[in-house]
Amino acid sequence: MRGVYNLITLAESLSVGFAAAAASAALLVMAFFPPRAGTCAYVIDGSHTEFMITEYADRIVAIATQIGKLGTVFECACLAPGDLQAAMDEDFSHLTPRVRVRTLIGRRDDVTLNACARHIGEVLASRGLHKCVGERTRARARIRSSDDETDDMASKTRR
Amino acid sequence: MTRLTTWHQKLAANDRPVVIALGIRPQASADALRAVAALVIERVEELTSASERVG
Repeated sequence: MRGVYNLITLAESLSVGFAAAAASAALLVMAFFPPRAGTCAYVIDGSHTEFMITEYADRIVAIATQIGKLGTVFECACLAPGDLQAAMDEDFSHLTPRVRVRTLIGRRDDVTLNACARHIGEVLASRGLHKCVGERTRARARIRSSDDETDDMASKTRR
Repeated sequence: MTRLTTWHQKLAANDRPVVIALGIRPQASADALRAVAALVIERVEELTSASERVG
């Protein structure tokens, strides 16, 4: 009887944990709803160029078009730690790619567009924009709190 | 429930890819491509930093 009671308690605690995880995920999703978007247009080299950036919770979509259509669609994702380590082992650290670029739709033979997409992905990855906003906010809060602790230590030392 | 768990796992793993759609004219110059890339980066940074301030 006691064993059955323990099992029920364990199941209840597991379900509470799962519900808490689901609730936090739902809150994070709600924080990103509606997705933020920005549009603008410029004349580049005599061509009208439109830009539309949309930030979803799990990805960022950037559209730049001079032809009024999507054109070629790329997906840039950061390499997994295992892949990165394998790339580093080859001793080409200065050439190590940080992102994996996949052509989803469009011209797969256009290396110029691929290079352009890779450049955008590399720069954004180097600035930490692949991370979710919640993580970046928490990281900033950690940095701020450590700064405060350093200030406290400095003021105590002065006294 | 499964979808939420997947979302949670993805967000915890910081897996947020960037999808880029480039509809550039074939006769566009290298300078034009460079300008497009710079503007995309600038706009993405602007948008994400604004959402970070809100969040």
